[in-house]
Amino acid sequence: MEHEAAPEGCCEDMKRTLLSRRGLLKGLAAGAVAAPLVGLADAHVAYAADPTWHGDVLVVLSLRGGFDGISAIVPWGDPFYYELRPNIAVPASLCITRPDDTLFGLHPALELLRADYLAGTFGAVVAAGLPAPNRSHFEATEEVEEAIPGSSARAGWLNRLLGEHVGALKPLSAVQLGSTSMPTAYVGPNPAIGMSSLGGFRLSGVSAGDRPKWRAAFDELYARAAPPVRDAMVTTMNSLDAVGQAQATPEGKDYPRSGLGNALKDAARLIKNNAALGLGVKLVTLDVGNWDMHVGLGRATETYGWMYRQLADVGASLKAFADDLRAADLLTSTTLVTLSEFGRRVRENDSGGVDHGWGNQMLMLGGNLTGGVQGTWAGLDKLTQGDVTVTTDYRSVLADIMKNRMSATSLEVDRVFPPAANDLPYAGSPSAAAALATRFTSGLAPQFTRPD
Amino acid sequence: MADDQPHHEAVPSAGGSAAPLRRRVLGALTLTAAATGASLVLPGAAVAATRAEVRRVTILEAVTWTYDRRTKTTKVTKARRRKIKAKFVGAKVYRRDAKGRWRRIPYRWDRRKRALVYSHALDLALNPKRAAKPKPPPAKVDPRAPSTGPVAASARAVTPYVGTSMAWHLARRATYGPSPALLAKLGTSRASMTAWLDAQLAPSRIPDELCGSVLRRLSPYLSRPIYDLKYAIDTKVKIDDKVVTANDVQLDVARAHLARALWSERQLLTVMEDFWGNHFNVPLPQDASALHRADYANVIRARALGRFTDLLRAVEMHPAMLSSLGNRFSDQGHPNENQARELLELHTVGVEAGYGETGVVNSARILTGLSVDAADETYDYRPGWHWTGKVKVLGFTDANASRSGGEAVALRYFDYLAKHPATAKRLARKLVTHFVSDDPPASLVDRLAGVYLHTGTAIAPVLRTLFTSAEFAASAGAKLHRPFEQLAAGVRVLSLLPDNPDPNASDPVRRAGVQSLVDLYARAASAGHAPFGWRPPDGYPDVAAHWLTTGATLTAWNNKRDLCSLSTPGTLTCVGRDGKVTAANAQLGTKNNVLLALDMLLPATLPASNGQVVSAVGRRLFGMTLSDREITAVCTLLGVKPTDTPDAKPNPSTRDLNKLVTVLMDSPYGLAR
Repeated sequence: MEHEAAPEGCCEDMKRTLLSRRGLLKGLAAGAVAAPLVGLADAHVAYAADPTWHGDVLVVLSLRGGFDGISAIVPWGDPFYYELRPNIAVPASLCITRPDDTLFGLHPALELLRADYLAGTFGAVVAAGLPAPNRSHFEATEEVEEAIPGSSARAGWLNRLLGEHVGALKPLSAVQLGSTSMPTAYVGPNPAIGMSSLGGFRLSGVSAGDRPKWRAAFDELYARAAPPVRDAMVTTMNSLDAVGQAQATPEGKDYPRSGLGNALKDAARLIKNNAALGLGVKLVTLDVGNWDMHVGLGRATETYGWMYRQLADVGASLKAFADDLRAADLLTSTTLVTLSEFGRRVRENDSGGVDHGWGNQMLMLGGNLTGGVQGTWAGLDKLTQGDVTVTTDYRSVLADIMKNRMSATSLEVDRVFPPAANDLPYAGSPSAAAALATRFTSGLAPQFTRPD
Repeated sequence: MADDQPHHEAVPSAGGSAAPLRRRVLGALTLTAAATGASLVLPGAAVAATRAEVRRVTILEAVTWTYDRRTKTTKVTKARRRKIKAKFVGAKVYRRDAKGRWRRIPYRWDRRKRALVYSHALDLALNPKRAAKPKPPPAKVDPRAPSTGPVAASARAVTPYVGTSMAWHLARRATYGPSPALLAKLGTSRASMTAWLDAQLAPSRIPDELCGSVLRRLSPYLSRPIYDLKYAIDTKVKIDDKVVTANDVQLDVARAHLARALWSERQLLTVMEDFWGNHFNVPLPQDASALHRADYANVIRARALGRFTDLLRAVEMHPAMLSSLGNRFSDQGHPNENQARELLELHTVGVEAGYGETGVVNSARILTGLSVDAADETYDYRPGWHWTGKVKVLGFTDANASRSGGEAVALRYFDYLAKHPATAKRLARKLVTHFVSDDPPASLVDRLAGVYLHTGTAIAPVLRTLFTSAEFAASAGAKLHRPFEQLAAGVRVLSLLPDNPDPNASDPVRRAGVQSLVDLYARAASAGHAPFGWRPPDGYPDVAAHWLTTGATLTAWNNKRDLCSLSTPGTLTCVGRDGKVTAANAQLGTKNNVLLALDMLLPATLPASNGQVVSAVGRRLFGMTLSDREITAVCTLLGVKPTDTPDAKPNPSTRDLNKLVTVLMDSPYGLAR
């Protein structure tokens, strides 16, 4: 996303993010702000595994710029939604709903995901996010991806997950697709590899057919090198061969020709070749930017609107990805989750956009999801400084995936998300959660009639 | 190896019927053994299981390991697999010693690996004598005494690829890479090399016109005080029609460092600026310190070869550090331990010194009040924020009675830490790791620590001792280039020069003539090694093990390949045989794509055979004679016979000089530092 032009209507803060994703250290002002938080055990988003399975591939899709989650997973059953967004709310009649859900529905631009949503292979967790609001793009991005509050360690959670859980690392255990610039989540001692595209993973100026000749020359030139040096050459050349074979497999169909579509198509090709070529891919990260919609978010009836186009791309890309993996019987061993630095202000601003907020919806795709909309909805009359109040720490969703879909142990989860000294009540602290009035719970008895 | 519930650990049954494994058993080389305190004192559920059982089981005997004291995590890097008879009593494991008595061993049963695994935390608990204690100060060493102690053979990563020439060795380690001009200066005599080293240790006297001319193309705010930049930003000053921003200036800090690495004559100074910049890491780019980063670099450069006491004071009280680690907000009500902790752990004595958490708290109290004035973003001591009362960190104590005296206490504290023997040892070890070997010889570390203390923390004498030591001379081949160092060495060995400003270009970057710096910076970043780009406060890893990954290897190869084809940094220039400066990717002939810079690698008279061409290029690039087998392998890749006569220039036998240089640069010859 570094190379994207900053669109009109996105804030100065975001324009600087485009220049440098890792632009800012988190502020270190003393004194934490207390906020309600649900313990790790509260998210149940994924089915536990059967004993014969060896762990999902985890795909983390970062929606950079601050995703307006309530435009995608629309709380049409909450009347305050229409009060706060008189111009840009998605009319309830247009929402894609599950029969048992009278609170949430999908934005119509996600039409292609209707079948997966109804079948439970696409869903979301609502009102998720950081334990306390952080409305700066960089600070919040680093806080989300480091996931180690109060520490100066500055290593990413995916890097810790690699070290703690994945164990015997292979060159492609952790891949970033779409850019060689690594997200903060990967920063740390364990190696991850960035590829602008699968086709871009190559030895510059050497065709696949010529590679054996180069390998022969390298074998001789490295013959006397110390084993770690020779091993690095051998592993690199072998990885080029393995990825070369993955490059040669047919591309999945029906992906949109977008950055996200291409990156997901490459991710699927890696995953489909994972077993046959022994690639060992466990983590894949992808980015899609341009969510900083301060101005002109657009109506749900306008297919050319900013949000509509962005969501349509996400919907079409995820749909193609799901179908691609489903055809290879791999959707059941893949879990995709989205993260964004923050949600947006609920009340629309005077420019038909929305400003930086807090709670957000995390989208999920995979063969073993609980399905539907999960989480606790406090209601849009219970805002925190105008923002959706977080009721689920985003880490608890990730922890649930790690435990149930990657067979990580509690100890490993604790090392990936270590409770910090100035952390809020974190694991197993019902008091914080109980303090929060939970008026609506998605999927339960209807709370509102459907307004038209 | 994270076990969910240690108290449920079952003693291995003889039949080996374990629960179905949910994930792959870790390979022996990457297994981690974690021992928490909890594994020593078992919870109630396991107390019943005290019945002793003797079984024949697998043990993963640790050969080498690293231990993280804070997390009590042992990471076994090398292990031997054996079968032994062990006695299990609860979670305790016993093994017969030489006399046949059962002795408790620091191993615990790992259910997943179905083997006994080592735990250093357990080892320390069982053998308290092994627990590391603060080491006594090193004995006073006469810095002039000759040293012995060869470099461990195991540390030599690429020995056969490095020659015995001292000039090449010194150039590889004390600079960003040999170039023909540098090698000429170093000469072959001890006297000429000593003179070069002496000059490098007093860099302000070295003329540096070429590099200076490049630096002048970058932001003028690189050399101006912080308040000037702050004022320029506040008043929206424009340069070349573009508003000055702190981010642009901090990115120029990295580009300036790149220019110095490639073209400055003050090479050792630049290497040391990098060393201290990583030692006192303020990551770049970073918003919190963007305004102060240029001044921070200048402050470090000015003291990089001076006294560590001065460097430490300047860094710890610099707005960049105070902002980066948040001490600027630290007051008596909420002392922020961030910078105070790194001051002890990373900047000076190291965690082994044993200051403990109390030491950190006291350190934080001493640092309260060291802040930044938000109006002009310069350093500001705020007496009202200072914590008063007695403080004690290691051997440093102070009544610290007044708020106005807090800054003086901090200064005394910095000096105490700078002169602490543990700091001497730690800095010496880091320097030896950087300049000599990933496996630093203790003899040299001790001597350098002695010199450091003896000379009142002067850095130059330490470096002089280092470069003239027997350990240094014996260490050829013990270090590898990291990705940025590979890139810089590639530019230098090819004698590539900065691009020329193009007054007619519409792109301001080309107009200023900094396109190559922008390109090379992006390349270093893509290899994960942009100047000062490491995020954590400890600076880039300085050992090969971190960098021998597929991602770093492939990116470093491709960066050098593109350098040889000059496909992207195509604005670099070089001096041709006619003495003219030309774009380095100017084509010589029409039949091929031989590049001017690569052509300059060939001897003026083309050798008689293809093999001799390969050999000559190898000598020019690495100062090494390639073996016949290697020459043959390279010729095979190029599709020519070593004994055939090369075609006439500019279409030499290799047909593709680019390919020849590329394969050699990607080889271990190109990796050796």
